[in-house]
Amino acid sequence: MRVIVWILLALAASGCARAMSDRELQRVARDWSMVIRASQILPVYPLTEDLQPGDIFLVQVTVDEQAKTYRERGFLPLDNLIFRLDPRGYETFYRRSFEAGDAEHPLPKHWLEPGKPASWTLAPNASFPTYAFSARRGGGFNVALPVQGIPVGLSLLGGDATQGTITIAEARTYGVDTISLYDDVRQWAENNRPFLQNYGGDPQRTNYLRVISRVYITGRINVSLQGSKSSGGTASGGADKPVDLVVPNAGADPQKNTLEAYTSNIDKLNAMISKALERASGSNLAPGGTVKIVSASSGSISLAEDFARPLVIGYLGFDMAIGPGGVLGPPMPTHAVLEHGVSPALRNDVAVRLSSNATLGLDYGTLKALDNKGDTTAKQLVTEFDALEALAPATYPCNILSVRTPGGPLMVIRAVGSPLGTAAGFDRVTFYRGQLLASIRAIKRAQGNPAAAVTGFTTPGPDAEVYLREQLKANEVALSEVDAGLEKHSALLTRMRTFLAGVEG
Amino acid sequence: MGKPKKAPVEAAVTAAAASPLAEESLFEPDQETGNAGKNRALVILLGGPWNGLAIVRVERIEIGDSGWRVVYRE
Repeated sequence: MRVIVWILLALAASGCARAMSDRELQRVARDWSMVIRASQILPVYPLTEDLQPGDIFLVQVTVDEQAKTYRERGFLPLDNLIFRLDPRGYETFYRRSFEAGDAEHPLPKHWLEPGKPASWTLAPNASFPTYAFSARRGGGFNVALPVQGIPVGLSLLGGDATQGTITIAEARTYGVDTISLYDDVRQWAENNRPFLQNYGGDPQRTNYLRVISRVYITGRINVSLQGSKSSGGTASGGADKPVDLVVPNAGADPQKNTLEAYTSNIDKLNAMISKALERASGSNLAPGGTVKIVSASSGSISLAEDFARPLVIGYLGFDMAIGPGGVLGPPMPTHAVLEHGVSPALRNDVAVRLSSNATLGLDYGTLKALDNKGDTTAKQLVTEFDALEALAPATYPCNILSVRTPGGPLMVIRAVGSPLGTAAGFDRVTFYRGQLLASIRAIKRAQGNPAAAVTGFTTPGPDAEVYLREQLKANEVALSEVDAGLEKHSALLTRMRTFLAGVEG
Repeated sequence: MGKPKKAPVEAAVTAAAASPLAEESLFEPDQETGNAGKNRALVILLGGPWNGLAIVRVERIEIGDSGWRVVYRE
């Protein structure tokens, strides 16, 4: 019995240790991300060299869930890269400011030059503020950061640090304008619609494309720690970090207040850190950068951690909802989506709704074709869809407006009270709904064009504006009524999509 | 003094209304520049607002306001 109790205790202790370790790792990620987020950019975690403008990620998490995860973890994993686009707008974007290469020397390769000393020197500079943090009462800091300079510095101060600062130095940034990138993405989407349509059209869950438009890169992180008492020479390092004295500072002991003594002390630290690394890893391939001591005194130490290859620490971008048939919605800044819960909505985009209506009609047409071939399931579905014919009224409840010729005036093409036409079955619904959507689009287009002619009004003006507002309202009311009827049958729509997704050739 | 002649436009409208082949047209502008985009715009129109029309012909207009124009019978 006693043995069992010990085993249970050991298992419980092991579980607790693992849970604490997980929590600590999560804390490191979150604290680092909060530092980056404070600069109004979206953090990348873990830091990577392999992220650039034009990268397109598929996001299958709702905006609410994303915001919750973002708040809790501090960052969002960029784990579903579906394409790396080559933005065509770099040269135009940087034409009058930076030397951005040409067709033979494209970005970012022209600036990247991996591993070379001149890496990123041609790219625009960026600067981040200094972030301060303080020690917790029981030891350690109130932030956890994946920066090697902190544990090294903490060791050199004998674990007595009370506060510190971190500076993201030698930062660079590059990107491209949203409009040109948006055009590139749309072009790409047109060529990859069969892929995208797998992710669009689910009324319960909208999927998004997240497109990176700008990245921030750093080559160095400076860490400064302040302690309350003098440190001795019994420091140890976690990785192979040569110590470099730049600024000689006076120590607390007057007898050692000489440059020679100071240099000698640092040499000892160098040797100790080097030995510690050999014991820790046996090689000089330590993760992260190379830590150098910039300045040191009895109560403080400043270290610079250089990355051998600059890393991306944050990004900006925009999200586009994937609509039915793989049609993309308008670009919304990712920052607004994550920080303010703004949804890249599709429902109010008339063009997308028109597309959705057409997809509905085409899916119904496919069902009818399968029905004609003798498919019993399709026949049943067609019967159920045709029963929705009554969602379209016998006569138009509002005027339908359109233009008849290029540059022609907006006019009533179907007057309120006129018969709907001869379309029957579910075709009648998609026809009616399509006419309403096209009419709404035409009215909005006229509202957005001050010079647009409207039949019945000799010149555009307040009277025409009032008329257009009334017509738009009547059209939207009629559309909301038919949509409310369709939503009651959303299960039938899902059954149709599920059935058609399983049909081959 | 003979009977006053009807104006040409009025006469044309009367004739069109009387004919079973009277045609009307609709125009839907778009900003599409690629073939795939233009075709998709047409599919959307044919699958919705135009799917109940007795279509005579469909034309692509490229000069001036670009878009699709449909000619149909009432």
